[in-house]
Amino acid sequence: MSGKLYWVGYLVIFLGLACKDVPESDLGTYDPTPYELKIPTNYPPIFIPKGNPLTEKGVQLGKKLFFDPVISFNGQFSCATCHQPQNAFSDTLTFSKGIQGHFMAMNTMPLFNIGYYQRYSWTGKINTIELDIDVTIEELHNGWESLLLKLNSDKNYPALFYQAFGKTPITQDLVEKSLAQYVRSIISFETRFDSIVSGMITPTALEMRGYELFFTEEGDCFHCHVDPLFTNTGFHNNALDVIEKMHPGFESVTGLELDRGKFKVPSLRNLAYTAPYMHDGRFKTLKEVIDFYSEGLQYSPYADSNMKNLHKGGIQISEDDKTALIAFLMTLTDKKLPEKYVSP
Amino acid sequence: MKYIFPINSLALFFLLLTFTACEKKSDTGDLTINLVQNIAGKPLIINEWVYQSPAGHPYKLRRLQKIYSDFELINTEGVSIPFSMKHYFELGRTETKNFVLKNIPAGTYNKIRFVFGLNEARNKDNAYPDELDMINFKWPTALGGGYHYMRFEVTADSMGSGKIKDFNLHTGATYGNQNYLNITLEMEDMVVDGNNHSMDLIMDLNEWLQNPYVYNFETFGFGIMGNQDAQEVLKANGVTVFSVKGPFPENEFNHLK
Ligand code: HEC
Ligand code: HEC
Repeated sequence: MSGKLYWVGYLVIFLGLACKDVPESDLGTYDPTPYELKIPTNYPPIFIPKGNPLTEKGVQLGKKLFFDPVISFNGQFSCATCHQPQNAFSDTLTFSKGIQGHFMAMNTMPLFNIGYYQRYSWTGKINTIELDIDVTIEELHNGWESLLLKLNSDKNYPALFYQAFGKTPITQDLVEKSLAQYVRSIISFETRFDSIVSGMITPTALEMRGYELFFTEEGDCFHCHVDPLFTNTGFHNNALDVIEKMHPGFESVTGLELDRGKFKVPSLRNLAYTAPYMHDGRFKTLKEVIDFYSEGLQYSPYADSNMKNLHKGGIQISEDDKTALIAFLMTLTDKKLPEKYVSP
Repeated sequence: MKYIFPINSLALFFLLLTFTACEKKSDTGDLTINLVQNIAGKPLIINEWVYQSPAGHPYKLRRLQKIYSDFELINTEGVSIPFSMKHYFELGRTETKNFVLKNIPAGTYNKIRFVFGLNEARNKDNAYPDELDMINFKWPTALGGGYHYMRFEVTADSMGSGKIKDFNLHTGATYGNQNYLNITLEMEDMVVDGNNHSMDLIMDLNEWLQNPYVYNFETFGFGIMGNQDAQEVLKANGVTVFSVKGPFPENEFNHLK
């Protein structure tokens, strides 16, 4: 080997050492064992980006970060402050309070089955979960640099990140990746509805009537709230407002007038936990939501053509049928969700 | 060393020979089918009051999604070449506008046949669990199961009542009734001999609303997924909905565009 190459070698080793605060041996070993998602066979394919496959260590680390207030500059906010496991990873407020003391502009979204979406936030303004985390932490921590300093000098995190990603030091990219892995791992499916569909149990007459309303053009809910996820993962205008009061919604992302007042179609799984409802949390109860779909639709030319009887205010169903529809929606409750993704 | 030159030349000669032999042009060809829509000859625009139904109602188009499947090309000897496939179209999504029938054997073809919608064998509950467009096109089990064939949605001025109402013409296998259409169309002779072609498959949406029966939005109302009578009317009218332009040899067609 020539002298020149020795120098390059020294330089590489030197630079390598300079980058490390902790000797690698103390960080444990890199373990990329894949994380196996438990997904029912009738679910569509989930989107997992090539650059961020789920691993056991990655998901575990993401979970730790999710519940750790270290991600806020004042140590008072974690993701779980707003995305509470007992509420299907949303909260019970119309608008959660942000770290600066102001209210958030939109109702906090639940976080389950979200690896099926192609866009994030109510208006779809964010393209990936990683990016969503990027902007959230930017706000919660007044920027990334100070958070990375904190994490890199922590006594546990450098090792956990090394074991999950085989890399050190901790970077913004790795924080986003681990949190995104955890959030993607939250899959909800163990409900009464799923047991009915698989023939394990029979529905009550009331639930059956609700099912019929939901899945026929009598109630016409299924065109947007498509099973098994109970969302078509798209954006629609469900006639919440007249033009004068309408939030631009998806139009603010696409710039197309046709997209005015469109919001992400939320999953109807776990409604028992996700009140209040809609992007602005305007309805406190499911009864209020059903009253809206039955008599409260607001006319505008932007309302989706699947909003039945827009000209008469809605589907016009009896009080008994409203009870039935709610009974059916309650079969979509995953009672195990609150604990399933919390305990280590 | 002096022998190397001639031996190499010989090897080179054989090598070239093998290549030319392998390169013998294949005589099959592809046909690109462009899905083209109009309403009584007018181009499609979403959400504009520019159309009139045969029953006399002014209307605007809100949504158009549909499935074509199992194409066949029939040659002048009456032999059919089948293509086992399905294609989902959605107005506004460019990538769904056309598709290609590949490796058509050499010959002269003068008819095209296809299924509008899905035949019974294809149209099973959850038959396409991995395709997002198909998942969102499901026809509920409570209404017979399978998938929609078409969603043709309009907002119409219902006249008389003075109301603006939405009408969703969704076709499918209502309670298991097979409402898909088998369409056969004559086309210009397509001579396939290693060359590609392209053609327009045209749908006039107003033809769903007439010939032989005038379809009055008000008669059948907002939704018809559980209404086999309405499905029968659309099925009967569907026969005259389609026409073709072409096929054109691909280069010539491109030149015309
Ligand atoms: C102060 C409350 C609050 C905190 C803290 C918070 N979020 Fe959120 N989150 C929201 C709100 C509100 C929305 C909806 C935002 C919108 O639509 O504009 C949301 C939306 C999301 C979404 C999009 C979901 C979807 O279906 O589109 C993801 C993902 C998410 N949050 C993850 C996180 C993670 C990870 C953290 C921790 C780093 C976090 N959030 C911290 C309030 C919060
Ligand atoms: C045209 C599509 C469409 C149809 C049809 C539709 N919805 Fe919705 N639904 C939406 C959209 C979009 C939202 C969110 C709107 C917003 O927040 O601005 C929503 C929100 C909801 C919510 C609130 C969920 C939450 O977590 O906030 C419930 C409950 C609901 N819909 C039930 C129903 C029922 C029941 C029916 C049938 C009677 C129905 N929907 C029909 C599109 C639709």
